[in-house]
Amino acid sequence: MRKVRTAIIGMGRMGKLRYQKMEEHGGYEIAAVCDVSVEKLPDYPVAKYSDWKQCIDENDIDAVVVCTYNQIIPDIVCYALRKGYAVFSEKPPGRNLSDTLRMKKTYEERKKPILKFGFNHRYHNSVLEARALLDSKLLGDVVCARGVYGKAGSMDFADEWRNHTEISGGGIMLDQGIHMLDLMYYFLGEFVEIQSSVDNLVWKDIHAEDSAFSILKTADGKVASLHSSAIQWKHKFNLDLICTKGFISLNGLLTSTQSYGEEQISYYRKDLEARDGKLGKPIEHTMCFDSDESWDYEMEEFYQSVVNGVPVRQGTIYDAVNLMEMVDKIYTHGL
Amino acid sequence: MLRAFDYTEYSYVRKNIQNRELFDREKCIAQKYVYSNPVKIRPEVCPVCGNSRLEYLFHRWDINYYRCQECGSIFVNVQEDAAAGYLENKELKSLRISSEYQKEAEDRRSNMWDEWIHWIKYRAYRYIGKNTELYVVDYGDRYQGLVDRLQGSGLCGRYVLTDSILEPGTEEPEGADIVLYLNQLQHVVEPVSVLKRLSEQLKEDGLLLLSTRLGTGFDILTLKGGLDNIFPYEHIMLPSKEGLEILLDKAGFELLEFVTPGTLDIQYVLDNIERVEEGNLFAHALFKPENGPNLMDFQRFLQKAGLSSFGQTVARKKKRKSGGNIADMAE
Repeated sequence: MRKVRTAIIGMGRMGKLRYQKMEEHGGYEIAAVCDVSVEKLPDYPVAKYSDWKQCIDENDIDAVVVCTYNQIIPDIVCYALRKGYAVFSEKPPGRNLSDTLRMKKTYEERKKPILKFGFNHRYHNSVLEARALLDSKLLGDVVCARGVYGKAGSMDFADEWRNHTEISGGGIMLDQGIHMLDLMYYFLGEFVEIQSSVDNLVWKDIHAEDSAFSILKTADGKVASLHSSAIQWKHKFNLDLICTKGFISLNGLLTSTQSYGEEQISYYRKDLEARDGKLGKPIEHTMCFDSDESWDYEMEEFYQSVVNGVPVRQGTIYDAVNLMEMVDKIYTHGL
Repeated sequence: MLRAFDYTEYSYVRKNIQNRELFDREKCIAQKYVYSNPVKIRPEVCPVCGNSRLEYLFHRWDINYYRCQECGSIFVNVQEDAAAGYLENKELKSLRISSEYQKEAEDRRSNMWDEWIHWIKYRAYRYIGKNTELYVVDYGDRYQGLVDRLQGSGLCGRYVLTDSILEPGTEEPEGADIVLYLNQLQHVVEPVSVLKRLSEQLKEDGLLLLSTRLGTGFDILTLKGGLDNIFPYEHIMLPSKEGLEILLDKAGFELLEFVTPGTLDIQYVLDNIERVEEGNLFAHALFKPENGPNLMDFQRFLQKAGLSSFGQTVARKKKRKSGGNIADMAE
């Protein structure tokens, strides 16, 4: 198995997770890690840096994995692309649309660049099953969606870097809501009309929003409503997809905190003849999942791109630009 | 393996899938057959996992059912030719092929068949990436209504019915995308050899969609011999979930998913509550009338926990290694 020599920039929670997943994959050889608090890192048997440029420059690598604050993602992505390296970056793709467009410009200047952003929710088992159901047309065509993704903040929520907009670019919508937006975009397509209300309903003393409600519409008339929340005191993930011949409901999500409930997909076929006895209560089919391979699938797709030239399919720079255009509208088209 | 649990909630009390009078006639035929083909020999090992720690579970018509203490599968120790003779029994075949029997099945099972075909198409798309124009082998299907539905579903570009009472098989299929083996395993004495035969009918990476009555279902573990719809020759092999995994692995399959969407465990126990052992205090407490509204939730729990007595699996034929058949190498 060919090894992809990699440097990881940013060794916070996500950097450590990527390190673990790349080790488990077996196709990566981690050459170096970089973090501003390098002295606090566990005893990784690789070269360690506190300067990301030095880390990239001084190592013979194939790829760079970017797990930093949103603010410096574009700088690192563009630098690594210009050096000719394949790049995997955590979401969001920068703080704002301008950041993402900068990365797109650099990407398009390169010959055969590889750039993938980490929208791992697309690889969750319930999402894979929903995709198969929709693609199979067994439930007809999806026409609208309703999604809620919310968490409870934390004791030190106000101090988290995520809520300092000069570093993060936005609040809960950009940090977590972007995953739900990505899934809606994945299932329904690009939204061109957006209305929203973006507020600080409870956390009055933070710079970033704690709630975002949006109504979104695609060019072909599909509609979605999205609620992203940092005041959902009990963690919640729910995405309903309404189709012409049935209905899909994703509930719960298997995450490292295990606080979003069991990951399930339920689906129902339209049954106006009430063949199953009662109108409006058709047979329910539910699958529950007890494993999350999303990170593994994601790193495998990146590996295949680097080693075998397989085009990136999920989390492309063009997905990133579309998403950030929509996020930009959510922030600017507020009530 | 994708670990998933599929549970189905029915919003009404389902019509019994069997006509009682026809079912009793089938049982009478089976009973006559048992008395003319008695079995007295205790098995030495479990036909699923090969373990010798076997316990007597119950008997029906002088034939003992045993449970493997290792893998949990339940079985009777009958001879292969006697089992084959049962399925070829003229009186039984004549009943099952009759228009009365077929019409009753059609009336009572059509919704279930539609759901089944929908499930097959969904899982085919999930693992093969398409659910139309596939080469499908339907093994042992005895319901013309289901055959007609499968052929009209768009699933099959080529459909071959084999080992069925509905028509004599003329060819041994090979290269199929999907083999359907629905509710047939229970009739089998040598399950590994049958599953190997199915493997040979599939192309590499082809799918086996198998459903079977399980030996680890709540109804049989609660009622044991009091469950009157389990009887010899019709039910020879009731594997556990673990047993099914062993069988599929031995036959050269990779188990992709296992679900237990059965809905009738509670109903079967309720119908036979007087046969539940007096010492089973939990069951008697559970089935008190005031718990009625909660029983559907309990059935959901059984489905989710893999304790319903009806199992469905999707398994993929393992890739052949150079120099031999993977199924041969597995032994």
